[in-house]
Amino acid sequence: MARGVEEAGISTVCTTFRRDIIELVRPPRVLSMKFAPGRPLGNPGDKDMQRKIIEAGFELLQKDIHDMTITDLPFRLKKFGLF
Amino acid sequence: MLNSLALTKKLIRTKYPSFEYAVFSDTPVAPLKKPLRECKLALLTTGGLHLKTDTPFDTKFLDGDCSYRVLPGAVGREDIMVTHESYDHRFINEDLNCVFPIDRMREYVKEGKIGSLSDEHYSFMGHIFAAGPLLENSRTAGRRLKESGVDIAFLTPT
Repeated sequence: MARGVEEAGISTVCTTFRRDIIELVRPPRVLSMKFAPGRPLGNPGDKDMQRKIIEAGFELLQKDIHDMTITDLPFRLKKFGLF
Repeated sequence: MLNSLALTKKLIRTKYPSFEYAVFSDTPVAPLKKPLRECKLALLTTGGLHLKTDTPFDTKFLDGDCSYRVLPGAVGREDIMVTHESYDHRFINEDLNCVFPIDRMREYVKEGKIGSLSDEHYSFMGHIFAAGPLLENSRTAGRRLKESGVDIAFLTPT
């Protein structure tokens, strides 16, 4: 998804919880977190975590990059049932 | 022992025997050409979000539904539903922003951190086994966003 949008001239940043899969498709700016499906911005209601993740994305958007650049973020999810 | 990539592929192939990962060797980079405070931002997600009034995604199509739905800039939580069978909806039901951070982005506009938000945001399905049409549709979304003056996009795959 990032590839098509970036080709149109829009700077993108994307989140992922599967660093291994994202490395195959090579989008330019990636925020990698050890999350689970369904919560790319972390725990519901955790505004502070959401803002920290988004602001890490803003920081990455302002970097001069020329190839895939991944920022690993240390956030963790709360336990919810199976996850 | 299989690594996580091989294990995921094995699991997918139980449903979709010809599945292969999409692999690219290059990275397209569109450099940011203006300060963040002047940029117009759009959200894109693969969370299967769509307006309640819109046609739901097709969750029965084996290849995966590569189409997209447009979410208007003024969209509210009450306007949105989710058609996506591959993740737990408890989280988004509790807080839209953990998948589609529209309230956070509206805060950043008010704070002057970013310039404005797009009049259109884009939602795709995840769980796509045949990725070709997805790339073409993301190019279409990109062109439409570019034509409307969008500078940056925040993507939230689910």
